[in-house]
Amino acid sequence: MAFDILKKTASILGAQELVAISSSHTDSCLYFGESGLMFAKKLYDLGARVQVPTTTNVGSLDLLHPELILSDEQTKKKSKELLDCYLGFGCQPVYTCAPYQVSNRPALGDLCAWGESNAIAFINSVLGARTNRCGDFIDICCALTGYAPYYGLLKEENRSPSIAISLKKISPNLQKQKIFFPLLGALVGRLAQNRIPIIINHAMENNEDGLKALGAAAASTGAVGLFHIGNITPEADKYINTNKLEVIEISKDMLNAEWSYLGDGEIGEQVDCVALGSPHFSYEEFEELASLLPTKPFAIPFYVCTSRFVYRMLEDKGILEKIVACGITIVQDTCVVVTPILKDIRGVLMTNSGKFANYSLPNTGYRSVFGSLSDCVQSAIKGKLINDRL
Amino acid sequence: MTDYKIKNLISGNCNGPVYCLKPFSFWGGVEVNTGELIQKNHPDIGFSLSNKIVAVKNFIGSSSSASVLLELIRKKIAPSAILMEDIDAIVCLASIVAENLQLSPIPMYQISNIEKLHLKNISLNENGINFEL
Repeated sequence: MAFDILKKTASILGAQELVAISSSHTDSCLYFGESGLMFAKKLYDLGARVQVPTTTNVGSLDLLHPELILSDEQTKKKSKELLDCYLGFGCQPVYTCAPYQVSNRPALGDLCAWGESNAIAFINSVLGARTNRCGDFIDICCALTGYAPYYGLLKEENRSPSIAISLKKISPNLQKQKIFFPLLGALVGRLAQNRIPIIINHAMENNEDGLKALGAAAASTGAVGLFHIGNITPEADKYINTNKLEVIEISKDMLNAEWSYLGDGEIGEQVDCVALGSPHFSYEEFEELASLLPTKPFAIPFYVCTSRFVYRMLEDKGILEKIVACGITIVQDTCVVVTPILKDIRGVLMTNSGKFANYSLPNTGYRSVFGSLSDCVQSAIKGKLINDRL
Repeated sequence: MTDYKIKNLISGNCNGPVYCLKPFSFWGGVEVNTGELIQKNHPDIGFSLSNKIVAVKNFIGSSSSASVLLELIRKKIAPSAILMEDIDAIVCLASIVAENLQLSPIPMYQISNIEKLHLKNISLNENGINFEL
């Protein structure tokens, strides 16, 4: 069955052959309804097992704190059944959208078959590994067979940029701010759509969590599976000559407009919650958050989504206590936009994540306001919006 | 007369008006229980995709779009056909997997000049496209 799906996909995409892969990350374990479970059970009954190391994306459950999830019992039961099928296939149950910061970190040139749009963008762009934008179902079919259709981003000749994004007019100070990464990512995704962008004439710094945020935002406003940044990403040097490319000169106005797309608010208006961690927060991001925290509890709910591995590091290194003392809820194995966690009101959610900002309203009913990490913290202290724009 | 280049991705016939939409993501852009477009900032927010011929230059967003579309297919509230200018492997998978699960896959075609098809009444099958007056 997995081979059959692989061959049909290859034929539609015009791939002449299949190629062996070295790892997979599957996004098919997130529950949406009966059909995904039918698919997994059918493979499970056939005795399917993964042939390459394969990690699981987030599920619809916080397996360590089930009470956080507000789905009905039937949905929870089916979500668990679905996750159990993927365990049965032999997947590593990491339940994170940032597996590349946990254990599954492909190397330059590795051929892979990954799902989860931010993870695809990250391993292609930041690590120089090669994966197509695998949708649900094909990621696990590739993992179960050990092969992927050989086309698209797996081939060297298809990895060159097709649009250049120039930052010549943007002040270096602005480019060095952390919030610049997801903001630029969202704008790049909107401009590039399904093309491969290269960012040029920039003064950005090489920051892994920043690049993670950039890719996640670009993969949500566009279909960006690979981006290059001169002097930062590993393949960019090959494409230094951008003479033949369409060049888009980014202006501060364009960045401001993108900020408004991601979410504006009136200074002082009520904020109902803060949500961080899309993609899942890293240990380093928690350290930065911890350095900004107040000594008193927040006025509003404050969620940070992460993996169970990072959570354990917080315990081991002794900063967990400080973080939860402010009333922060740490969500593990899942996140607030893929499963019901937030109180059922049509409130205002503040975030520094371009991806959360893009998906918050459709998936949670909360209108998003986009802002920096420190403004998220300041707003949560007062329960009122503080937002220092560009 | 516009020349349309057509490639059949998933076989099947479709008849009726074409609704050409700006790019969207099925996950985070379409309500899985109703088939309505809910994508943030989308000009056609609230539009129901169910049982309509939907045309999009390119899709964007999540790799979970395959799951959402498959679930729409199972609930019989998916578009009746999907036309795209750039092939999107994620979207195609929903129909490929539907076939494996004995659900009814929806036809998909790659087609050029897609924006010119907006609101045209078409009849489309593997042999080509016809315009109804």
